[in-house]
Amino acid sequence: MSGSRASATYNLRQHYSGGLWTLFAISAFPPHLWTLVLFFRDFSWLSERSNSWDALGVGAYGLLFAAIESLLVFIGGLLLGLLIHPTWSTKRRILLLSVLILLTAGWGILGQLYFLWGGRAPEALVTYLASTAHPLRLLYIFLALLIAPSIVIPVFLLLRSEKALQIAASLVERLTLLSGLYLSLDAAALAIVVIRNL
Amino acid sequence: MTALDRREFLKLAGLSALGLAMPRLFTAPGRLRQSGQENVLVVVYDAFSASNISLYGYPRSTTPNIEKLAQRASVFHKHYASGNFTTPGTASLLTGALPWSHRAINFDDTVSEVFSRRSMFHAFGNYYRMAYSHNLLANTLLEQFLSGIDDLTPWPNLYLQSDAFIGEVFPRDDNIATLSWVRAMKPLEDGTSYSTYLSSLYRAYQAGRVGLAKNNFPLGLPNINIDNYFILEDGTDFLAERAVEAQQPFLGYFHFLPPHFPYKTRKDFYRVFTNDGYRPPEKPFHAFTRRRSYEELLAKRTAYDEYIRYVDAEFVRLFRALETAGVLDNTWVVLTSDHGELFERGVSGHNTPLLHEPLVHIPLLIFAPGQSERIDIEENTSAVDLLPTLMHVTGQEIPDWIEGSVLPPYASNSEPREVYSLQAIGTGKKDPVEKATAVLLRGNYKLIYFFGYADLGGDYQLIELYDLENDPEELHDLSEVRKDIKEELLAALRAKLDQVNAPHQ
Repeated sequence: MSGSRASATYNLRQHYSGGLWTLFAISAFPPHLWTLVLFFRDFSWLSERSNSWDALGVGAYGLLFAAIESLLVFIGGLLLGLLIHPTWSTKRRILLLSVLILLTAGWGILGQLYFLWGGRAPEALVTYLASTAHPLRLLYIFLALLIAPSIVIPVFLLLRSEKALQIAASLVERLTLLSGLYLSLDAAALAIVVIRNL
Repeated sequence: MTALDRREFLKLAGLSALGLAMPRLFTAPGRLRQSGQENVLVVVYDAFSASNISLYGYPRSTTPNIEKLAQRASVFHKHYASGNFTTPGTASLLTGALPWSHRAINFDDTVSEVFSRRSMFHAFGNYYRMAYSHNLLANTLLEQFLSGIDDLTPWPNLYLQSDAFIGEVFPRDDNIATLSWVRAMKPLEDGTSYSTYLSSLYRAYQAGRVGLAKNNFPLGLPNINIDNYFILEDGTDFLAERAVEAQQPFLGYFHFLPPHFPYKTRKDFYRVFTNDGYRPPEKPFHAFTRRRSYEELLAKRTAYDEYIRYVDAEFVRLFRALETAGVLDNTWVVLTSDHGELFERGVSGHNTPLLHEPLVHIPLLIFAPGQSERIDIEENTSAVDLLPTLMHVTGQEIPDWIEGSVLPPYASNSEPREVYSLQAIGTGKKDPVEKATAVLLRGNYKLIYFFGYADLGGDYQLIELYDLENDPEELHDLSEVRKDIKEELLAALRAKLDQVNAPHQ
């Protein structure tokens, strides 16, 4: 490997120039959104269990944990991004990573919503899996086949289509703005946690 | 005979003095004092209802091993908890005072400042005092009594895995921080958790730590807070080891969770009672019912009874280990509980205003050192009687704050006692008790007095009277039939409430 190519590969700043904030904001968006959605659902029984201040405390710690989760996802995204060829433009690299993060988070949330809405696995599928020697293995393969196209197709479009790239860019820009709001709530959450621990 | 000269006499006198001094200079390992200062070991199994124990006549053979051991114990047939959940029940056991005195009345409460140094541990000040609790509510009390405990084992130590580290990061806000962590990382029954990515990884990590232990539990490992897992065997082994190694004389208080919900028995007791044909008497829904059906309650009761079998097996294993190690030769062993558990009247568990027998009638067995004959005590006794009894049998002065009295057969002069229980959730530490369920037991009669509950309508009160001798299942409310007894007990109970409320008016 030539010296200049090595420096391009391992120079994070150059690899992501201008896109680090976007990547972090996108990493933070799903955990914060989902935490807030569930917290608002929980608020009434939390207040009843003790009081509103304690309920607010649960939300504050929840946002703190979401911030930590966002940081870990961001670091994971950074590391994954190092596998992308340095000849890619920063914009395309950031968009690809953002889309991957949003898709995986989306599946995580969808999985929870499925049970929340009372979803059950189809009877025929359960019966078939139960009749096999390795039902869990087959279930994972089935899920992989279900999820894979939702990952592969957007990635393919990002690589091939300028229009897809523009749509993704527009979406990411909007979510980055929204994420900024969520992250400002983290400051309030941190203040609540500090006060509660004084 | 050769006369001793002065030098020889002095040598002989010196050696004699040394010989007399030997036992005092070289005491047996771990022993600080002569006999009379015997060890005390209190073993509490949480939510252990006497109503479900075959030793006390329950039709299912839930405690075959304890029944055999009981041949060497004082068995108290009418022993009552002072509350129907861990906080007041445990606080009364540890302080010898009733809930309206120690004021640990609400969920996860501590006792009042006055009682913070009035515990079993402080009373046994010249003993080596050690304690452990699986139950976090009981642990809150133990931490409050820390100034009187020489060795308080942190609760996570006997868990296969736990969320305790959150409490270490946020020690001043442990409860809420841990609640939020649990909510973030562990899916509720509806499948949701705040975390979108990490909860799966966290669960995989926790599952790895649990390892092979789960293979012995068909319903899953015993737990609290979703996946803080433990096995009672670890508690038994730990206690047996501590009792052997501890400096003597020692006072040990060990509070284990089983048979508290969730009822996850070990595989050797799984389904031993399922479909056995036992059907307890059906009782009508109470005013405070949760409308659980008879069949649902029967299923839960069966799982609970099977869980009791696990407790029974582990207690006898503990007992045998202590016996083999010789610890029982000079140790008083107490087996009891903090409260009971209910599966009737449409209610399951102990989170209820009710104080019927299954909730407050708890086991008490006292194994005296060297006892070989069973003694049965049929008088009404209370959890607050345990502390003065233990002090009495170990030759110590009973503190004046204690409301209980020495139990027969250890009391030289035993008077019939009145027994009280109280459930007053929502009452502040400095507030009078104005909304509660209170029980007064006198002789065969039990009065249950519900007052201050707006749900009851009318004058917000409900009174029930039972003759436990002739109606142990509390099927026939005598409050309208035996009004004389009802009025007598009610007047006594109200007078007591007025007395305890006076300082808080």
